[in-house]
Amino acid sequence: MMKDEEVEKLLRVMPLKKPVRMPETLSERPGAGRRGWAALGRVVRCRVPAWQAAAAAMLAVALYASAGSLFAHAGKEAVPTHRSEFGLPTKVLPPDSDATVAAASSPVGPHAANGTDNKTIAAPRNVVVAMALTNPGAAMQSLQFAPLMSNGQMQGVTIANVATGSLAVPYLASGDQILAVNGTPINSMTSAVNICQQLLSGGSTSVTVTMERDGQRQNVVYSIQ
Amino acid sequence: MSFRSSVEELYRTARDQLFTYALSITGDSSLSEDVVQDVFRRLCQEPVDAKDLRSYVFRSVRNRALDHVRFKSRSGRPTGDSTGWASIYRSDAATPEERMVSAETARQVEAALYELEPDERECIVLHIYGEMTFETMSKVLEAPMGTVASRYRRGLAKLRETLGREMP
Repeated sequence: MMKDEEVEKLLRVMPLKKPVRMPETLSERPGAGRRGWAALGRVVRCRVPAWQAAAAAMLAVALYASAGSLFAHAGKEAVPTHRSEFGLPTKVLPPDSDATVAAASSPVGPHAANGTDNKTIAAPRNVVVAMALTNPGAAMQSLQFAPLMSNGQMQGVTIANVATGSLAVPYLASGDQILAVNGTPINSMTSAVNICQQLLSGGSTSVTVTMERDGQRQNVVYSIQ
Repeated sequence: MSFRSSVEELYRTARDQLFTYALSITGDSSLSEDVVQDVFRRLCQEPVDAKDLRSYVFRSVRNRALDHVRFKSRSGRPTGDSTGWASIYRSDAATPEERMVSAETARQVEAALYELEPDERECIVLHIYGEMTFETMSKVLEAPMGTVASRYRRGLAKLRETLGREMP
């Protein structure tokens, strides 16, 4: 019969399993010391499935198409350089159109606020000029985004950065969370594709975007002319 | 020594012991690694004022591992690796000392250990592989020292009986 000491001795010589993925020291942890966007990139790279990232990319392009069309240009003004770079056609509104009047009475965005660009009319949020987006690559350089994840489930899209000079500057800001479009939550590949097709088809006359900014959820309705 | 240095030192010295302890509770190698790393990640983000950091970390790992076990049992998902419950023992012996233990003996010890009650097994793992005193174990398990000691003795007696039957 074995003694307690023999059992303890036997237990001590048993070969123990070692951790495989854990680093030797804390400072070796992947991403340790990274901050800001580098850390975000690591999280996105590790936790976001490829198909959800692809869906988010498509959605961001579609949203950019809508946001980029929020400018209307009056009269014979020059087309902004970045707009022509994107290959975006401009739609000219008559100076006395409803959109122009609305813009003058309730200016939105830096252009109208500081008055430095009198030729550009920053339309209010309820006015949008539908335009086609023909150069998504250039658009993606101006608007960076990340899928919004919660408990491993895609909940929408977080606007990571809006480049200076981007058409989306007056309407989207870093940290904005786009949760749903036309009441359709952005939580799957299917919904994202449907939203993209809906936005790019140009058939609808208004788009309702559910977004969260600074913790405040709001529905923004864009009328498409 | 700063708090960060203490945490790093603890991680370096107790990493394997914490993994073994978590594995004995969850039966899932991957999950156990996640549990330990998650505890240290939180510790780095939110420093705590713990008198005994080692006990605190072992207790945190225990609570988190038990949470996962409860969640899995509620959701009906099987616990453990694809082959079932993952052992804390390696099947491939690397060092000469480890090769002294035959594969058959290892299997018998493993089977006997997993026949114990969970609280008895915890005490065996903490005392033998965590190299803890009964006093420290009582802090980790949040139980009186006498209780912890009796659980350990009871577990050891069961092991002795089982192994004595199989290895006379």
